[in-house]
Amino acid sequence: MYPAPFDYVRAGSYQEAAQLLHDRGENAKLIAGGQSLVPMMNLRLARPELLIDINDVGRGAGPVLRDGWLHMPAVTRQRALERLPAVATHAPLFATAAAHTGNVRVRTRGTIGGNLAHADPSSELSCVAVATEAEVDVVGADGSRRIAATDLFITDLTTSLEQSEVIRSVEVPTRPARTGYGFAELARRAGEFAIVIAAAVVTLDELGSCQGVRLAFGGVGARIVDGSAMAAEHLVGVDPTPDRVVAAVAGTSGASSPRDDHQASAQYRSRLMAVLGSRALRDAIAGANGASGG
Amino acid sequence: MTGRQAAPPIPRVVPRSGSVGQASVAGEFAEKIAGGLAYAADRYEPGMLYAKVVRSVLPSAEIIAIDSSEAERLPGTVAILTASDVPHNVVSEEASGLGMTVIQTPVLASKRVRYAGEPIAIAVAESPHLAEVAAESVFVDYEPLDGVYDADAALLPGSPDVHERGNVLADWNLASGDVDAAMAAADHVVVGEYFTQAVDHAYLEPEAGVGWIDADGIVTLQVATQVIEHATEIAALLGLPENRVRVIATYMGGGFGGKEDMTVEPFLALAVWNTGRKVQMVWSRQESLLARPKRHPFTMRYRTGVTADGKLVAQDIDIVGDAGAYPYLSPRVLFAGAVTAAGPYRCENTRIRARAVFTNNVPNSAFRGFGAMQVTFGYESQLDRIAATIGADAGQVRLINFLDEHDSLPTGEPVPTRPAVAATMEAATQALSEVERKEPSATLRYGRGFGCSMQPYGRTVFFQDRASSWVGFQADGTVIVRAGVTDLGGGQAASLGQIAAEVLGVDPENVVVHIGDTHLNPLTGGTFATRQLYMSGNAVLKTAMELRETLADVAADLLGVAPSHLEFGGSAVSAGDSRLTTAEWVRACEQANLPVAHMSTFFAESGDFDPRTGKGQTFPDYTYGTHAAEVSVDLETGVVEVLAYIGCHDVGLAINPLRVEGQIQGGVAQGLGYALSEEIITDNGTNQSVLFADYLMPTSREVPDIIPLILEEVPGKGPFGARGIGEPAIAPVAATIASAIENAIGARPTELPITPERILALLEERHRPGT
Amino acid sequence: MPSPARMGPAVDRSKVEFVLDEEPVEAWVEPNQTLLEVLRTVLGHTDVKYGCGEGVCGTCTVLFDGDPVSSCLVFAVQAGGHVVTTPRGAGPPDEIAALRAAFLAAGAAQCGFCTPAMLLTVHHLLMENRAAGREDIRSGISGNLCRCTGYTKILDAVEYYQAGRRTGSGSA
Repeated sequence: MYPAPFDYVRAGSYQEAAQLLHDRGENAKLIAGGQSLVPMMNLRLARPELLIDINDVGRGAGPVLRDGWLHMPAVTRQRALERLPAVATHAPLFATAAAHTGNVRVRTRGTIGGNLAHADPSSELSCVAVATEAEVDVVGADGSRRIAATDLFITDLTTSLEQSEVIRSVEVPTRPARTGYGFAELARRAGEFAIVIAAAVVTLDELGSCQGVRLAFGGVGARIVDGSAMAAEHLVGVDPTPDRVVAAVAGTSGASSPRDDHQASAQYRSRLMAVLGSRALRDAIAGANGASGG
Repeated sequence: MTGRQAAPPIPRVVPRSGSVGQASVAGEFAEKIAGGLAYAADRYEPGMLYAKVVRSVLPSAEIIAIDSSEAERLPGTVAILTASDVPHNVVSEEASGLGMTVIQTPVLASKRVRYAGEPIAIAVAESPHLAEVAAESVFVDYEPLDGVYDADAALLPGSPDVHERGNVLADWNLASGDVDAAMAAADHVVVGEYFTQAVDHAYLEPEAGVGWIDADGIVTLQVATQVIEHATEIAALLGLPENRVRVIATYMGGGFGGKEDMTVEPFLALAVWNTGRKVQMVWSRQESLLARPKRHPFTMRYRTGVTADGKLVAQDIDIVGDAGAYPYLSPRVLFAGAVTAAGPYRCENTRIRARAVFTNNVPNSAFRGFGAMQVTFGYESQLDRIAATIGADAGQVRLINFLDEHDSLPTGEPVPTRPAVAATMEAATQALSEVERKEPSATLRYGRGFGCSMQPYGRTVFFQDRASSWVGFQADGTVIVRAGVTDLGGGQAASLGQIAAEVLGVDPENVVVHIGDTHLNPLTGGTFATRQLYMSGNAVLKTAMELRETLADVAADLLGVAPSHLEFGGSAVSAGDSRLTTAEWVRACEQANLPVAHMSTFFAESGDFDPRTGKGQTFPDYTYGTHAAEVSVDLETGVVEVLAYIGCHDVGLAINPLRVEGQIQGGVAQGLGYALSEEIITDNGTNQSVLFADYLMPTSREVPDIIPLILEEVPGKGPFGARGIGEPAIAPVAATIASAIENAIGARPTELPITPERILALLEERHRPGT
Repeated sequence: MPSPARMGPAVDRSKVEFVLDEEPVEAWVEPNQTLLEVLRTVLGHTDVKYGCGEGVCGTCTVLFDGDPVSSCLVFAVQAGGHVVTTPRGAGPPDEIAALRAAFLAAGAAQCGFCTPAMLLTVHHLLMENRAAGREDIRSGISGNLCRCTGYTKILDAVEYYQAGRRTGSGSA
């Protein structure tokens, strides 16, 4: 019920935070929104000795479009992702995913960077990060680098970040004009962790054939499942008919081995991948058709 | 068998002055809404100590050693208490009420633990943080033992014994007529097996309280409890005379039966007694989910014989309930299940067996509905199966079988008051039929269903139940009521004020009600078994009536009429055009040397029951109801959404219709969780559902607008003819939802909760109709 | 309100200053004390409740810089320099009074434990969207658990409140 004692410091920059992580080692942790970390601390399951608070970093700076990428500072609140026009325009899946994350209080504090760094395979934002080929800009004690979302998530609650690396921003590439998006999830009740999440991006050419497709699943296993290659095999270069959508999704759900737990069986997760994947792709195709204005 | 003794008659008072029957909002509600009401955890004082229970991590083990040395060395630790610090290490419970042998439950385990979460020690420290650290630092050496985690398995020969006497805690057997002959002669025999799960009360207020020793040396506990009468058990475990322990009840943030057994009381009392200081204890939510008693999972096996036209001729029912590791109230829960297992239906040949079985799971105990709620899922499922078997309408089959006032229950006792269940069925189904129908789509199917129930109110009559109250006038005509009721949030206290106001003719705003204090208020018995309105309501009614009668002559003389011509209302006593204000009347009474305050006791009817024959008197009365609902089922995902819901009950007379509606709506929401999503999942005795995030109680998104329909058809035994509503409201929900789902997809769920996966499994079994 | 010596040997207490219900306050706190704990035990705000410690139940809701948060998931030290509003301190007073009156009249509170936070959440919703409909509110309160009412009368209360504002009765 009560967290173990810790030291507390506020970092003025991501660089400073990275340096502090480096100096203090394994027992230091960043705190941004705290919506994943603090419950664990209240349960005394997580007992960091130093909390480095990055909530003040870049205070006020919001997402901006830069060189064809939507640049979102790591401490952008999920509530802001839901509401800001820049996100709705250039990274609408992030707005949708944010709206499906937790409850209203979680979204007031929770951040995009904190959510991705937590690497929960049931995270809506992690799922759309993979679907949209987003990248994270990361700073460490020795320098900075960019990591693709697909390379960021290693397994359950584990990223490829080094111990002292800090996510500075999330970068989402903009898409061509005839692009549509789809998102579907099933949670056992409002605000709860989703059992399966599906996110899709479809780009069509002038003739209505599929030019590109991205498809990602959350909640299925230890990491976000990237079904894009399988989906592309079935859909790219052809008219994305309902039969082909079903086949594309079936391929993906067949290839993965979903986990089995008290929330849902592997078989049910498989079935949901097929159902929700199809729904997400259908919405993305419809969106792409609509987006062309034709 | 001495037979049933009727309760002394209370003069029949027709509510006229307008308090009773009004949707009054008087009471503590304004303060609650403004955030000003103090709950049990809301007391913080300098120098107060904090206590935390140390609990077993294994479900079945011997305790080899308890090492508290490190905990004791920590700065801020004041005491670590173990079993040897408990003067009488027993929670005394009269588990059956019928003289059956019971297992004693220890306050703190010393040699053996029988469930994960069982209390072993108490850490007391200067701050809640330090108490938590101290509790963590008590090390227990266990030798694991075999355990049994399923009630059916616990009945098999060779299964580990939870207690030396074997695993059957209680074995109730009721019978009437000749069930085997009638079953053999029946035109159809419908067989069904039904499984219900353990669920948690999930009240928003965790268990909490504060204790201290007052200036007179009285051990005083101020706690969130449904039963202040536990004070005598505290006295027993401390080895104190009963008048040296005082329990004060706070307004609870929900109870539902989960605060009916003692929660923090014994640990607080021990900490207070040992340290001599003020101590607070608040349980964490996770601790509550882990270790508090749950609703009994039931396995119910029904065989029902009917004639070709659907008349019930035989019911053979076997119920097994998982009692968990200690008795608590399990025998009584299974008893209530047995008595109501056949439902509100006439059947002359019955055999009902209900067993409470020990396992190494957390002990189960009282939860709104108390056994009679689980069996509703059984008997209503049977009725629907019968209708399907003979090709009849589900309502029609019920109409020809509903109990009426001439029938007897399986215990041989006559139905106490006329069941108006048919009227509730008609009202509920009629209301649902007015909801516009929806067209199925490629993926969604819609279905409508209903379920009927009978739920006891009042305690079994073989307990001589009683409740007392004190009602007194102030000189200015305002009123104080003192009654040891506890308030769950259902307006228990406020309704007493309404009753006193009605009888004495004053405004409910001018009545103050003091609740739950074993030293300052007359005892009313706890708030459970939907007994509070029946018992303390009748007590206040009786007390106020007697007071009024004592004082009436004074008013009659002053107004020059016979006492029978007096009318009480509007803060006055009047006869025709002549009028005395209440204040004038009271002053005149005092001048006449009459006492303007009175205490009285209401005794419920009493009776006898013989467990060997299964015959006798059981519950004083029942509340009948029907719920109706519309659901949608997503054929691809199995997700069920509840689109419309109507809950109809015959409440006799609604003392406060607003509160009755609230009880119906709240009971339905809790029932929807039970039907569709809630489950305490245990794996070999280890509770997997200890996070509130994992416990799927409904949010506002899972609950549609619930339409409560109040019928006042047949007077019950409560004040002014009221019937209890607290528990009845939850009983029909699971059956109603199952019925609606069957209507949607053509397959009947028989296991709760009805999860999306179970829906898909049903669909697969049915070879889902192709599109 | 100075906090009593509660933590045994002084560990690492620092002073945190923030605005609470429009008044500046300060408290000496240790880093591992949540805003919930400090509000309740140091600053006298028992209208903010402990229900789960996981951010799920909503009974600990306060407004943080104007938006709802779970105070059990914010450390008191993090509140420094920010603006916190509790259920008792929400405003403007005439709107809150009218909303409370609507809750009372509708029978929207039973045990009352979820009510202060529920009302604050509804109030915040309505400040963002005066014209919020019944389904918007149903969705908006889905992060506040209630075990007693079944939610229907809470939604009724909001409709009473909005009707009152439209006709100009019951407010101010």
